Amino acid sequence: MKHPFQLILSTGNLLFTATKNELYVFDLKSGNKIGEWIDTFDSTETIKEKVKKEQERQLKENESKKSKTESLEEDEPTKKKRKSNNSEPKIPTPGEGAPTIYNYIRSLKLSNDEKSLIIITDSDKSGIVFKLDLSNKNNGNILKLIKRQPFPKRPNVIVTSNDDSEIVMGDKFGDVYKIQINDPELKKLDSESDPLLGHVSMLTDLIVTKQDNDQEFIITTDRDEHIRISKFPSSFIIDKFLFGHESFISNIVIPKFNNNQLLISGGGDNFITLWNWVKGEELDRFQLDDLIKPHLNELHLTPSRFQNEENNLKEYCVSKIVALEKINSIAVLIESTNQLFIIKISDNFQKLELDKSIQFDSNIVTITASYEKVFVGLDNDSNLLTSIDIETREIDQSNDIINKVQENYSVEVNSRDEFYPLYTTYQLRKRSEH
Amino acid sequence: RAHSNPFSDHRLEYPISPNHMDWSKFYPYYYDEINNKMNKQVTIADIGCGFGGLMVDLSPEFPNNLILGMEIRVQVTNYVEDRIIALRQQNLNNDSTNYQNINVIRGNAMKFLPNFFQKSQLEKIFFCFPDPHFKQRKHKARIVTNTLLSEYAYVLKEGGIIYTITDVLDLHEWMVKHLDQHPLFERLDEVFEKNDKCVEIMTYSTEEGKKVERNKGQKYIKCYKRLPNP
Repeated sequence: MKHPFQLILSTGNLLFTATKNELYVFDLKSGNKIGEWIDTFDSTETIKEKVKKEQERQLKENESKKSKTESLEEDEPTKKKRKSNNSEPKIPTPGEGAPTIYNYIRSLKLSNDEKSLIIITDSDKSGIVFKLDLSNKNNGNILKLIKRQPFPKRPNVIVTSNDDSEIVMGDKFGDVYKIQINDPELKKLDSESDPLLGHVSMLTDLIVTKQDNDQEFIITTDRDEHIRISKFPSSFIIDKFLFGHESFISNIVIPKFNNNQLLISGGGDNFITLWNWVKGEELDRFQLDDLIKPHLNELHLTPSRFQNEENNLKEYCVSKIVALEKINSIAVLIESTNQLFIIKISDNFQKLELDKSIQFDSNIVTITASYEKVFVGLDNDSNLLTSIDIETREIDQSNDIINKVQENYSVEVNSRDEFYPLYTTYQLRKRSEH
Repeated sequence: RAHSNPFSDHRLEYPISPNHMDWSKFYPYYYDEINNKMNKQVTIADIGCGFGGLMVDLSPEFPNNLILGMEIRVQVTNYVEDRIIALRQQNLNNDSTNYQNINVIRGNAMKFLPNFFQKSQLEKIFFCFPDPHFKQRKHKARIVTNTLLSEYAYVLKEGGIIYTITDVLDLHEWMVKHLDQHPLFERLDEVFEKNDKCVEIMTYSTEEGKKVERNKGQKYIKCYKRLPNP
């Protein structure tokens, strides 16, 4: 059986997909595969390096301790000879029952000019920039790797600056870095002095944008309900916060309509919020409970430690919001459900209003939107991908291109047990102990 | 417990935004019941206030300011609460502020300071004998870092002052280095330190300060002014 797509991204002509450590590009005119890249980086090497460094540090520490104690008690015989000072560092292997370690591609983003693809790899905590080489010189592979920049902590989200000259990356530790794309040298980043800005919380999403007057901003969200707006690149100046969320934020979107002034945010709350981020105003809240409650399933049951006596407590979260520029709307995905909500931004961009909810045969893993289509990645062994026409908001029936894409996609697994995680947003929920 | 991990999800109470904060419970004396609003707002914050010694001494010196201590450890916070209740009781008939202008809240300032205070609300922020977090990989847990200073700058008004004091030289050098590097702060000189009454109170009145005094330890002090945004 085929492994469902973990991430998809479309420009209209191209469809990028990521599954495990494999990245593919499909031509949406023919359905042909026109690009691929597989992350073959062996993470044991970096672990080895780390172990070695730690070993050296400990040896040094022991030495200095020893010299201190020796100066005090000089006739103490050195009972224990150090066993192996120059032994090869051992790679720690996870014991039985340890959770599986997944090395997959965590994010797919396009540059603003849509000429580059930026991804995050788990294996070496890198941000990678590919130039899209449509000239077909590269053996029919349009992906040309031009930069692989490792970061000190695991990256979570990556974008390019407004002029596409830099990548801007946020990590699980809450810090944000920026790196010149065209600088051939790889930077050795220092988590103490190099961050552009930082939250004391996991960074969950970020957007770099600008206003009509060319003032640039960076908007960062975290697991502690914050949406922070700072100037860019002088990010030490915090302009404002957008307060209102009561649970983690997973996604923010700034649609291009209405001069980039609108922002929609969602996450662990039972609502999504429409803001005018320039004015710092909350414009509307769209409640999700009534819409989604009939469609929740056993995947939404609260973990047993936090469950109620009847064992029927369910939780849900927004895992993806995309802008549908053509119809002044957004598409909203609640994790582990088979429903997609099309929500219109109506009333002169003041209100969120349900346009349509679209039901699928199986749960939706992820979505992406081009100007004309919404592409939907499904948790299904025979039908992994489908599309919706934005004009009609109907599922495209008998779509040859989509079928061709699926034929040309061949990440095979033996059973569902071999799937990489498809639903991960719920893990952001806070479970405070004391 | 002497320490608390600032990164973990403690069961904390914090307002959704500064507008959601009900200060009347903390400073009932300054609550205007007729107009249903506070007639003063907090302008001095003691981050990691410990047992509250600094606030107790600041209270009569700043009768026109509300002073808030933030402390992450539950038991310590409870102690300071009780201490303030007792002080208010004992001084009911005094002419001074009767300690009505100080209070404490359990909170994680490193995560939620902007939830409590509006932009440019504060005049002074104190960091007195903060946890040194000696280990290299724990440095992000320190209360002064490049990235957190931007949040302190956000809640401080122009000309507002950050006070730091510690008995750990390594931590002092760390704080000075990061404050020096930050574009929104300017170091204040020794003349300021000599003439500022807060510096004197901070040096001698906190429990930690007294302990260092007894042990004849060194105290390192530096103060910084919030510059206007460039």
